[in-house]
Parts: sequence; C-alpha cells; structure tokens
Amino acid sequence: MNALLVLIPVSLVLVGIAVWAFFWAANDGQFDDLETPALAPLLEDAQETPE
Amino acid sequence: MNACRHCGEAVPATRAGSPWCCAGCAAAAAFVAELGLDDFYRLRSAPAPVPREDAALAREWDAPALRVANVRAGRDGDEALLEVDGLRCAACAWLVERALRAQPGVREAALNGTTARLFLRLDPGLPLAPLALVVARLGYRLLPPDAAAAARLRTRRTALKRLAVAGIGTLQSMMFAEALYFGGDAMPPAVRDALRWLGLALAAPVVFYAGAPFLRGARAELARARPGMDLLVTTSVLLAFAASVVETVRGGAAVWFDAAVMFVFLLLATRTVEQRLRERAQAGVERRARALPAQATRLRDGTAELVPAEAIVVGDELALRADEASCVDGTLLDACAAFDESLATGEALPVAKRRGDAVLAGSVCRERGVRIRATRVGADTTLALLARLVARAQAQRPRLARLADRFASASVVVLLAAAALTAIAWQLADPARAVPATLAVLAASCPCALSLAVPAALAAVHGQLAARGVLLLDGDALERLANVDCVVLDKTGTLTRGRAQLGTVDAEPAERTRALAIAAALEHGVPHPLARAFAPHVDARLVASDVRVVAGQGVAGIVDGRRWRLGGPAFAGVAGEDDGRLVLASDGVALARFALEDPLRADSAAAVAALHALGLETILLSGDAAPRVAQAAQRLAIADARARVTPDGKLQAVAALQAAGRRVAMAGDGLNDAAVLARADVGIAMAAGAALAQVRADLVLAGDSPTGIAQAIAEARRTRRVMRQNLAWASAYNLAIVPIAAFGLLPPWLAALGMCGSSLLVTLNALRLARPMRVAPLPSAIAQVLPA
Repeated sequence: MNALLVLIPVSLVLVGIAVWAFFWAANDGQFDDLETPALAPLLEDAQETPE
Repeated sequence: MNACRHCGEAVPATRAGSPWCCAGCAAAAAFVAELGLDDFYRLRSAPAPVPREDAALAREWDAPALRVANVRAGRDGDEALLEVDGLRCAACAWLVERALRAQPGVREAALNGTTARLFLRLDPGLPLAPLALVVARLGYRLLPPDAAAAARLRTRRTALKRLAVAGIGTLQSMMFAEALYFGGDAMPPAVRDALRWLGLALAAPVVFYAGAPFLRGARAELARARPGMDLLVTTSVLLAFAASVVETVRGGAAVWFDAAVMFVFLLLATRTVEQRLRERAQAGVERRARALPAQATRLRDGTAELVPAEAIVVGDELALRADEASCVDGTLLDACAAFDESLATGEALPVAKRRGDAVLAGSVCRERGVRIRATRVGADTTLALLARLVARAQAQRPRLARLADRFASASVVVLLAAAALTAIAWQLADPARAVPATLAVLAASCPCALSLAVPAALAAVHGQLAARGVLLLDGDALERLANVDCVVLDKTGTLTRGRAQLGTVDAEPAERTRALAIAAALEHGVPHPLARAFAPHVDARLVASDVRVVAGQGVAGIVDGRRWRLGGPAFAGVAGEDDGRLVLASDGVALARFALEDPLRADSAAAVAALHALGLETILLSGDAAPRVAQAAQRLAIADARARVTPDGKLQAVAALQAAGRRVAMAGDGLNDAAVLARADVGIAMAAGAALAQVRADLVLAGDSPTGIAQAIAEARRTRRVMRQNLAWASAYNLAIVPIAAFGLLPPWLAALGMCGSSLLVTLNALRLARPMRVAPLPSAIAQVLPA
C-alpha cells in the first residue's frame, strides 16, 4: 500500500499538468485549425530551395 | 473539352490548346509557378477560384483607415488579424500563406483553413495593399475580420477546454473507480475512503466546470417551466454526484463518481462533434453577405473619389472597375456589360446586361469598367435581403421539428417519472442497486437523438440548397415539396428568359413608329415580362391614361385622345386567327401587329427532363398563343400543354388538380402568378435579382434557372427520407433501451455511451444532406443538342 501513497499524488500532479498544458494550447490557438497543418509534412520547404 | 488547369472550368474553343480557360487563370498559374508553389496543384482537393484582376480589389486596402483599424503594433513588428475569402480546401490556405510569407516585409503569415483567419506579422509601417494584391492575384480576397468571428473562436476554445477537463477527469476517475471495484473489499477502510475523497475532488471540477452548460440549461428550463434535455442530463449527473458524496461521507457501500464524470464527458463530446459538423454545413450564406467591398468610387461633378460603402446613398453614380464587385444594387448606365452574379444567385456563368438593367450588389463586372447608379444600399441590397430571407427560414422551426420538440419535452416528464418509479421499485427489492439502475434509466432515456433528428437534417439541406441559389422561404415547404407529384409550369419567365424582344412589326410603314410609341406608352410600368420589349420605343410626348391591365389578355388605355387595346385579337376586338402576335387596335381597327420573341432558356429542356426522371407529371400552362405553346411543349417533351390560360384559368386548373387528389407545385415568375403560387401546394418563384423582394412564394430560385425545381424536389425527398430514418431510429432506440435499463441490466456508463452514439448517428445521417446530389442529366449536354 505504500506505493499508493506515492503514486496517487503523482497521478494527481500529472492530471494537473495535463489540464494546464491543454489550457495553454487552447489559448495559444493550437486547436483553431485542425486541417492545414496536416499538409505541412507533405511539402517541400520553399525557403531551402535556391532562388 | 479540356478543363482549365487552374480553376477546373471548361477551356473555351477560342483558347483551344491552352491549359487555362482565361488570361486570369493563366496569370494566376504563372504567379503560383513564379512563387515556386506548384505543389498547390498536387495537394488541393477542390479547384481554385477564378482569379480577379488585381488592382481594383487591392486598392480598397490603400485607405489608411483600414490599416489603422486592423493593424496594431506588437512586440515583433505590426500584427494584423484579417480574413481571406474564397478558400476551398486546405491547399488554398497553404498557397496563400506561402505566397504572403515570400513577400518582403512579411515576418510571419499564418492562415487557418477552417476559419479563414489570417494572422500577419509585418515590418512596422508596411502597407497592406501590396499584400492584398498578392492574395487577389491568386484568386482569393483579403477581408477585414469581424467581431462575431472572434467571439465564435472564443466560444470554441472554451468548449474545447471544458471537453479536456471532462476527458482528463474521466480518465483519472476511472482509475480510482477501477481500484475500488476490484479491490474495494480487500482494502483497509482508510485507503478506500481516501480513494473516494480523491474521486470527489476530481469529479467536482468536471461536474461544475465542464458540465456548466448543462447546469445553466437546466436552470433555464426550470425557470421557463419547460422541462427539456438539459434537465434530464443535470438530474442524472447531480444524482450520481450527490449520492456518491453522501456515500463517501458516511462510508457507504459504493460511489458513482465515475458515472457522473462520464455522462458529462460523453455528452460534451457528442455536442462538440455535432456543433462542428453543423457549423461546417452552414457556413456559406453568412460569409457571402460580408464579402461586399468596403469602398466604392463615387462620381460627382465629373470627379471620382473613393468613399466608404456606408457613405453611398441612393442615386449616387458609381464607377465600377473591371472585375470589381459592386457594393450596392444599381442600374447600369453604360450600354452593355457582362456580370458575374454568382454571389447572389449561385449562377456561375456571367450574365449579359444592357443599359437600364439591374446590377446586384456583389456582382462582378467582367472585362471592362462601367458606371452604375445606386438604387438600393446597405441592408436593402438584394444580397442582404437574401441573407435575411435564408436566416429567417432557418430560424423558423418547421412543423415536424416542433412536433419532435413537443414530444421530447413531454417525454422528459415521463422519463423522470420512470426514473423515480425505478428508484422506488429497486429500493424495495434491492436497495444497493437502486442508484445505478436509476442512473442508467436517466442516461439511456435522454431523447437527445430525437430532438436532433429534424433540425440537423434541415440545417444541412438549407445550407446546401442556398449555396446553389435555391432559397426556402417557408420552413414547412420542404415537407410539402417532398409530397408533390405534379409540377405546373408557367412558360414566360420560367421556361423562357422572360426578356422578350420585339420581332417583326406588321404595320403601315408610315405608322410604324407611332404604333410602337403607343404600345410602349400602354405597356409603360406594366410588370409583365413581355412589357419590357417596348421600353426602347417610349416617346415622352405620348402618355397613356386610364390604363387597365387585364392579366393574361392585354392592356387597354387612352393615348393621344383615343382608346387603344393591346393584346390578342379577341382582346383587341379585331377579327382574325390568334397567331400569338399582339394586336394594337382602336375601335376594332388594327393599327399594327407585333411579334414578340421570347426564346426558351438553354436549360429548360434539361430541367423538364429532370422532373420526368423524378417521376413527376409536368403541365405547361401559358397565357401565350397555341402555336407557340405547342412548339415549346414539343421541344420540352411536355405532354399536357394548355395555351391562352388566364391567371384565373391557371387558378382553376391547379384547383382541379388538387380536387383530383394531386399535390401540385406551381412554378412561375412570382409577380404575375402570385395567386396561383399561393394556391398550389408549393409555390416556386423564379426570381432573378431585384424581383426577390416582392416575391410571394414558398421557394425561390434565385439562380434564375428552372433546373432548381427538380433539384429542390429531389433534395426534399431525400430530406424526408433522412428525417424519417432519424425519427424511427431515435424513438425505437429510446423505447427499447429504457426497459432494459429499468431492470438493472445496463450499467450507467454503457447507457450513456449508447445514448451518445445514437445522437451522433442521427447527426451524421443528417449531414449526408449537406452534400448535393446530382439529379439532372448534365444540363449543358442537352442544351447543346437542342437549339435555344
């Protein structure tokens, strides 16, 4: 049972961090566009090609 | 025929061999290549918009006021939050973003493909006009943002945060619940109680922060004494939470925090998904009304000045550059021009206009600049009216939706009673299972799916039809339209353009001009579509008095001291066969005969064929003379055609059909047929542009093409089918699941999951309506076979 005494507070801290991270991400606009960024990996990076 | 490599439209014969349909597309493609963004063509899932000639669109961004209003100084340069119009897929957003980033002075550009919002970080003082030009050259448009969009964004973010709290809370809660389920008996009571208190600490924010929308909704429902879904949800969540708190405090047998948080999470998830999908289906109309330019060039005393759109008043003369959209309704002052009216009517091809013709707000003048005189401004423009009409029809709750609502509201009371009964029965039989069984009943029975079944379908179909210029003005019309088995068509203005031209004039050469002037005086101000044919011949010295219009027959009045009658031979009072020509006569002596030509629309045959393909009977009722009606009927393959039918005759014909048990849709021009349209089960009006305001009908085809009739009927039938499926599913599911839950055979979490699944199923089924179905054989193919 001693493991519980450590693990439960740890899990609560993790929950707190997860909620905080999500709130930060939402306020930062990370979830505003769920479509365009999906294309990014498919593209050549224009800036690296010589003019 | 080849499709344009840029916009996907057909390449005209005059440009055969070129991969692009017009110079604009070629230029846009060259510009895309010049920017090194050719990837766009590979990635896109929808064709690009046709680019508009740049300078005019971009010029409005030259105004300092726009920059002041939308740009503010930030830490790393100026920041601007703008909107881009015309995005069709994610690749469009990518293209615009990259093109802007390549511009000197742009430090950062981020464009959201879903909300169309563009964030820019610029070198301080960089003007916006060149950037607007870049966007315009690609075929899109830069717009100032609106406050409503910002508010929507905030709401979305809050909803997401609630969902996250509920989701994370649910996960953690399940962990504690799991431990209690499997090890609760073996645990020392102190550990068990500690886990329960932790569960309480986790559930509280989920119930009271994430579940706040339900709590608020329930309070509102109680205040109005109209029990609804939120009340049911709140009851079950609060019951689970309160019972668990009591058990925790007194160290009872079991707690149900996991059920409480899971209800909240699943319901929130369903709601979020449902809202997202619906928003997407509806987005079109509103954005179109905002797409008008903010400025216009006013001509006054021979000088041109750029003024804000709000400053323009009726009567102002405006200069419209080539490819500039008009921000007001007006009349054309120059000889002729072609206008793209797709914004207001959904019609993709440019429409040719002559001097004096109405120009709609939002229509774009092709090829060259023109002058117009403003006739309606601001909220009075046709486009604004259109947006309002659609919004009004969408706001209406049609009969079926009201019915489903009333049923859902009544069933909430019944279900609360059922839950109470379950609780009492289990309390007597096996008190330990009373709470879970009651919770299961409450969760399983929520008639969410039932109340979604109709509105979700309607929202999807309204948006889809409106985007194609088919406007439902009466929320109930869709239901009646689905039942129609017979379509009565008027000829003039419906199957023909209703823009008659004067053909041969049979009169003494010396009298020809005078005869035309007298006819013009008589027809002046008559709203019949044919009357305008005489407009070019108005002579200011000849004015008709005592004008009497006999609908469907002719017009009589006094001109130059004599009483004239203009109409068919019978009306004019002269002998002779009715050959469809108009006779101008006085005291039984004919002065002239006019042949009016009003050719069939190119797509009329396709429209009628589509109606036949739907199994509908078509009847042609026309006030026109027999030979011409017969000719039109033959060309359109309409078996039942009746000529020389007066408006009263049309009314009787429709009434006779209805008496015989038919359900009749009547299509007319909406102005001369108002009575018949009202009498028919569904009145369909063809209303191009300005006429929209006066039209009385259930359904308006703003696209000015009769193909919309078959489309509307086909979509109405599809909507009826989807609504029936939804209602059948929702009621069957609820009826079946409540007894199972009442007998304690369903754990609360499974009940909640099933209820949410049912709601989602109904929403997804309804959203099939947001995609148009093809009903007609390709109209253009038929139009080519049949001469117009």
